[in-house]
Amino acid sequence: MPVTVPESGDPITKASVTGMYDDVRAVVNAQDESTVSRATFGIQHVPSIVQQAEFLEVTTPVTVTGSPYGFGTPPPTFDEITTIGTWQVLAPYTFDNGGAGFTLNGGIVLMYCSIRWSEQAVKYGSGAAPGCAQELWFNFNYTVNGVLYQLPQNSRMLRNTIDMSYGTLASPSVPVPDPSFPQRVEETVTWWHVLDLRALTPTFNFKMGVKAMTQRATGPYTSDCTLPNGHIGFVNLYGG
Amino acid sequence: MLFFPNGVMPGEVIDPDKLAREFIEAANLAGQTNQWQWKKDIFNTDYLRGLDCCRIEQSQVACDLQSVQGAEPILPDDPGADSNIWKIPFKRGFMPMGDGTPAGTLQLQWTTEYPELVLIVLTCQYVRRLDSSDEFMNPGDDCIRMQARIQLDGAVLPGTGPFGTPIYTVRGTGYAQNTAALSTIYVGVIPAGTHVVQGVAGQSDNAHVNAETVFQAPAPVDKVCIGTRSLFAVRFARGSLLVGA
Repeated sequence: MPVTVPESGDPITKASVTGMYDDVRAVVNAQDESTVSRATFGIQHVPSIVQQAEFLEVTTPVTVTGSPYGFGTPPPTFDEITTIGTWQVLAPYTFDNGGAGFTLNGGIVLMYCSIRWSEQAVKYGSGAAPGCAQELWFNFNYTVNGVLYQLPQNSRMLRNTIDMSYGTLASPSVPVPDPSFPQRVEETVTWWHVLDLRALTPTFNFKMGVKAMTQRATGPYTSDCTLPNGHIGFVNLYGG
Repeated sequence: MLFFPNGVMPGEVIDPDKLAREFIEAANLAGQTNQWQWKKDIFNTDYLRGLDCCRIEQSQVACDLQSVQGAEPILPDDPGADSNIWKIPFKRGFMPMGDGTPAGTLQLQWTTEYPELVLIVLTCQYVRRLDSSDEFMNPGDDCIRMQARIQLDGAVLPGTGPFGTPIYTVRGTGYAQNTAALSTIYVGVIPAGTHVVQGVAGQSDNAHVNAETVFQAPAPVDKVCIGTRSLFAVRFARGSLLVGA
């Protein structure tokens, strides 16, 4: 918008000055995104889109305990949908700011976790045929304002097929030294999840955690599963 | 926004042209600004709260493998298998995860008027039935090899896909283990326009001389599956050159 200015030689009047002020004011007040050129705003002007980013590197090994049941012993109940609540809590992966939880300010929450399964460490029982398959299930859960979400769609499973035992049939539930144990597995479970929590204002409490359970798929026994290291974390972003 | 007028000095005769330039300059600055007109930290975090400074698109499918103690997961084409489990076509290349319908396919689609930085994540459960080759596998075994990728606007993105320890010496043919809990991630800048992102997967064997008809039992066309799966994209606006009005 042009500014109407007095002609050279004209007397400067109150009206001519206020007229120019009004013209400038009109331009400034009508300013929108179309008048802002590229790269106008940089990191020096705009705050980070990341509200909070936290992660935990876990180097404390954790063992998911297998079930030392043998012949004639009922296997523990397992169902990937209904038994998640009873699964073993992986304590090193409890990410809750020392129990208090993290205070977030709404927006988007990106969650991620990666855990390495290195080996099956202890053998229970004997007499199983080679080819026993063991499943190791993980559930990545989170808590928002005290409400725990351990959803089946956030469960993942790794399966390892090894010769689980060549021990004696007489004492199937007693761990038997076996040179084939521990056996290397070297599988990694990774998981991401995104939440749109813009509706939660002004703040909300947030925690993350992991549960695990191992069960046999084929064969009569399960062994302990060693998880030597991993990491867990989240990124809280503005927007949505 | 910053503007520093010169003003009229004491004793100076007011020149209408000089005085007018003060206002004209102010109008020009306001009409097409650059970073030098704005103070540091001019926007606080309240400015970002609730805005679409980044956006998310997501698609997810939950599956029940019906895994119970002492039994294999129930996978297609077993009776009673969860209908959401997607069976990977054998030797058909990369195919979109899902049944091909817009509702059943793991797919994101959006239109943007500006270039965007995107973070795309595909995370899913891969599982296949056990077979005899799992225990005593040799490089020549016809073990199933799976590959999963992110597909952006029809192009399978290189560099995405599951990582797994190759079994024995067979490398580069895909993932040979019988399960994977995988996440693949892409970060890149994409231009303005309409974009379609899909999770895709394919499977084959590693024995090039064998036709699928001579594949060992069970047939690879069954029980090689993607279970629970999720695909999401976080879009960060990049902006573009806009000329002043």
